[in-house]
Amino acid sequence: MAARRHGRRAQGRAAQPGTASVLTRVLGVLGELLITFGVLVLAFVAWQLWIQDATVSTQQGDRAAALSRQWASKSPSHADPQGTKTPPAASTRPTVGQAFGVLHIPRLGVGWSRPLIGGTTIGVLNKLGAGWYPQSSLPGQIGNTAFASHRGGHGSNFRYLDTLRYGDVIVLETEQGWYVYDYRNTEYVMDTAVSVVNPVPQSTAAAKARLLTLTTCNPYPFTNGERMIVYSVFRVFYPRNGGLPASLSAQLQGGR
Amino acid sequence: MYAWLWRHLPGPWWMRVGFCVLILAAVAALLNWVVFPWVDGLLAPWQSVTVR
Repeated sequence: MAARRHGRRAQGRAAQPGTASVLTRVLGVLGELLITFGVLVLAFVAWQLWIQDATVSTQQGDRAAALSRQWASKSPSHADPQGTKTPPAASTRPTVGQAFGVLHIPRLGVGWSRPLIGGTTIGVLNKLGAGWYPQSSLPGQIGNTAFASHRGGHGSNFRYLDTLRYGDVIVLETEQGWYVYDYRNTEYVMDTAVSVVNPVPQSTAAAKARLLTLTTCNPYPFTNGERMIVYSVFRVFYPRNGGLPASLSAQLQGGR
Repeated sequence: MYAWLWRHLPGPWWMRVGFCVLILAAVAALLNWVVFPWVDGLLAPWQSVTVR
């Protein structure tokens, strides 16, 4: 619009041929391009914050629920299922991109669940679910089982991980059953603190306990310098064929 | 640029408005499914959640 108006005005001034008209038209187009670019940048930020975030969140929630349902047919309901403190040894390590379990964190919402995926590549973290550190232990095993996921954007899975409180449970569900962990504490470290996923976090000691470590970025949002680390300790394992206690089942499946 | 586009769209004003809506929808689809995911991939180093 602006370019057209300036163009006509310039045409009216016959005394100054050419130059003013071309200059104003070029500036007019340049201005429109800059405004368009600004709008596109804003649109991208909005897309990342809301559209893509919601899309990925829904996809991962549905995928996790589907996995739970698929395995649920193998678990008859028992009145009083017996858990064990020593889950059977697991052998097969998940490959990168493989959905091998479901993460349940009732504090993040009744029925909140996300897929557990092998590997911590960008493709896994941005699209598929919580990524399992390949150098860490398998669920329920002695040592440290570690997962990473996004705090903001790409589903914002761990957006509210800082609301966990002492007494909260985190459950890793696999085809074998449910590994129940008790939340213990949170710490904030720099992104170079790779020792948080050691068999004994921040230590080189040999592992004796069964731990769970979740990592995400901090502070929220739009920053990347630190990591929030959430530690939990293993309490009990419920085998698939025995089912879950009713109280725990209600927390895990109350939602979708 | 946009004035040029308006001048070169055929038909009366309401048809031009229709074309503009169609073009906007096509651009939005292209951004949502192609351009923004690509840009998002470029930003991955600044969106890390792992320790390394």
